[in-house]
Amino acid sequence: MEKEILNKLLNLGADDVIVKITDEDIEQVRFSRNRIDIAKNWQEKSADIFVALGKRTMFTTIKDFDNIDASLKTVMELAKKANENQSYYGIAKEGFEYGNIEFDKKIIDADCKDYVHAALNEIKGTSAGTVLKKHIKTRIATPYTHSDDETASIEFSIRVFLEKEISGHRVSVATDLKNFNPVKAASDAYELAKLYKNPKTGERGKYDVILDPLFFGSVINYTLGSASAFSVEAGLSFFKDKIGEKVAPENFTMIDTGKGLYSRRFDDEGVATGENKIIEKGVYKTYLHNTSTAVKFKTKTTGNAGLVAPESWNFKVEAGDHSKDELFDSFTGLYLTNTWYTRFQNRMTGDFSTIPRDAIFYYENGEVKESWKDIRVSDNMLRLYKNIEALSKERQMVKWWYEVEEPGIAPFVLIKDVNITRSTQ
Amino acid sequence: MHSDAKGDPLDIEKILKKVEEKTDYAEVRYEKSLTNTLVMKNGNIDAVNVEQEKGISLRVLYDGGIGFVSTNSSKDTDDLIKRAIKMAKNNKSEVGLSKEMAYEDKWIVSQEKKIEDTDLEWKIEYLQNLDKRMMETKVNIPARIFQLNDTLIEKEYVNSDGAKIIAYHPKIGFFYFLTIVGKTVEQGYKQFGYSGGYEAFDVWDLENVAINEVKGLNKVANQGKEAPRGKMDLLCGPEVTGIAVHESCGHPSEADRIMGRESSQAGESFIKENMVGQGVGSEYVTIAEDPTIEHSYGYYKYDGEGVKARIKYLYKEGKINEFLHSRETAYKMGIQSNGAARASSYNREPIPRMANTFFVPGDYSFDELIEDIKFGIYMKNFTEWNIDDKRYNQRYIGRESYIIENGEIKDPVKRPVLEITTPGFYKAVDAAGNDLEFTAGSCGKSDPMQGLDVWMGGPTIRLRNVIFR
Repeated sequence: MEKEILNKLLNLGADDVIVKITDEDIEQVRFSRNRIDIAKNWQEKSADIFVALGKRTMFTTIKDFDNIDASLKTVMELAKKANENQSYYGIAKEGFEYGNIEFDKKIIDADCKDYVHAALNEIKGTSAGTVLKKHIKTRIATPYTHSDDETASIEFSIRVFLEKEISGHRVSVATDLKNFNPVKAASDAYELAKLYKNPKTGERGKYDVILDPLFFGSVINYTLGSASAFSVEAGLSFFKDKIGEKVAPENFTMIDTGKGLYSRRFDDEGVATGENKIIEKGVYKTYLHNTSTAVKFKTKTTGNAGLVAPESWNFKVEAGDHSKDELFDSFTGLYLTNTWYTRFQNRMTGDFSTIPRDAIFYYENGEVKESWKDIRVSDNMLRLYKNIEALSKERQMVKWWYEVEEPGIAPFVLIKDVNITRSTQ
Repeated sequence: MHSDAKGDPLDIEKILKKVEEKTDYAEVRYEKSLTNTLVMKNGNIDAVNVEQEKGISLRVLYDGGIGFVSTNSSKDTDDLIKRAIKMAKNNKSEVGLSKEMAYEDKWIVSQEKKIEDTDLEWKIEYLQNLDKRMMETKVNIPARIFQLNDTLIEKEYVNSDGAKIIAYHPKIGFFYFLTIVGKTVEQGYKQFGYSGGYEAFDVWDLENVAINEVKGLNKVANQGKEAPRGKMDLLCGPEVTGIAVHESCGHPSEADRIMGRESSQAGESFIKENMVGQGVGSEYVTIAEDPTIEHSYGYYKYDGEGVKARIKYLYKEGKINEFLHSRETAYKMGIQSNGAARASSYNREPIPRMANTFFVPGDYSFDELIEDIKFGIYMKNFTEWNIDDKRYNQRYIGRESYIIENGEIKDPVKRPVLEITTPGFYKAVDAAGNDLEFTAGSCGKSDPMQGLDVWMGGPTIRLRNVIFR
């Protein structure tokens, strides 16, 4: 289908065309209060199409395939009426050496409800969560390349409540069933909730904090948007003018990669995805680019073209030098296990706040001294990265709902002097 | 309504007939939409996007379980039905739906300046002119993002109780995101939404609102003083009132949150099932949720389950009054649905949602609200905001804010921070203005995420003795 659409648009007069066809088969089981609420299955197809007539550009997403010829003609008519896009410098003509993506075909036939029942058997209290499995096939065609992709992934998320406000949240996500362990995630969430006793309202001030991989994954998700070249131009990036600058200590390296939970062999221009070190040994290295932004920034595409603007795929933070136990050994400060609702007051400066949820522990000399609740991390993203003190060797692949929307591998991280606030009344 | 669907396998009444014999309850939803989006960055049209979508979904109740399936590509309706029943068999949770009146009706949102008659060149020219007018203020605005989208949505819904609802819903949405550089860098974001045609631009008074935003932020960037801290009075402008009622009244009143169904995603609620009648604010606090406001961004006549929409008073004179219900949550609580179930698309399940949530206005003029404030802050609008997942601890930071001294607005101040509990906020309210205004928003909830168009609003409200840090 992709080649047919490509040829039709070229015949209608387009100078450049990209056609990406996606077929999704997704299944989800949701549960709460220890019972399955609903099971869902989506079988959907979409065609993402880019057309250029000189510098006049047009994107379209077609999910109604009944009148495709008429849709293509409409797109061409609109492209003729569009103004010249001064930010457009062509699509990729090279970079098409694709790697392979491996996934476990058994995921396709996995029974989601069985994982829910197995997990619930492990725990007491009440719990809520989801099992989600995805099987996605993608094909891309441009005048310069043609390729296809197939991936599958499975995700489990569980929040266990022992009583009102006493909760722990864990996830298990994988591209093969061997590494998918919802029972362990449930058991870990339950153990966290058991440790989290009689929480008191926390006190404001500066604290050293250890962020769990789930929390750190969320922070990274709100960071990656700043790495897109589009964001840099749009006033949405706290990494503007930071290339070559030290933004974190030497022990910190953060990578965007095409391989992970949401693997992809090529970006939305058909360029092979790879590994891009965004921050290497603490130094900010690159923004994420498509062909056009790369020309503007006088560099090469990083294989991160999204339909409109460069996007990140999967993140990976390199392992640190300390074991997890060493991080907690004689630690005084807050261990934060999960967060949500991160918002910025200024995306260029990176001033933000986020609200820790689930288990929050105040440690003194390596021991849990108190459980806390009702606090907020109110700080600055650039300061947060600069104040990283240590990272754990142990890392986890995390993905959770909207807060860790882009999956990745994160360690435990110790950050000095983080500003904590709370409600005044 | 969708003539191309009659007689072909997407005829949803035919599907319903087939499926209702095999299940305890079934509903079929058809949706066709055409969305045009324009993105302008720093005066350049960065993206012109057209999205055409058509699909159906099927939700069934079978032996105490709910199954939901959707497709935009398969014409095999027997397979669709089989999959829906298979999904429902995943659980036997004794899920049910409240009994409701089955309506047959058709609703259409009228347009003065029709979306389908508005061409691309006109839209591009409008945005370019708006950008030009902003730049003519001579304020330094190095980064400017505009996004404009219009959508034509056709919907048809049938269920095995006999409901049949057809809807035609044109909508316009717009936002700007501006970066103003003066002595400091300040950023402003505002979203607009309207059900109807391109008369929306006049209804919003877009050009004047945008120019005032530029001038206001420029004042803060160049003349803004450090925000005072300590206990003082506060005037919240309608935008701030609107976000507060959305976050700390609308969301905690959603019955699915209260019953734990959202707990591993958007969270639960500080409100429990037995808290109707309990105090949460002063007698001046009445907050309504009304999907029936014509041309509102959250407008609907019947909800996503065919239940007739009506106004609901969530907090009434300071007390928790009513929750937002779907048929599923109403069944669990043994009551009737109040028509709050919404789905963001044919391929999402309907769940309790807000549409247009607002603080019911009082009769004070702005001058009357401010005249006896000795010292305080006027927070006209906000930048950063958030709230915890039980909807109890919230934070609003002023975007354009001013000192109030002896009943008069004085210097602009930079980003005053209000971090306060829900009762702390509403119990401090001692007066509400008569200047009701709405702002558009995209409300996020559910898994997969369902971003929904909403209005949130209210008048200027006065809070006494709140603490700023």
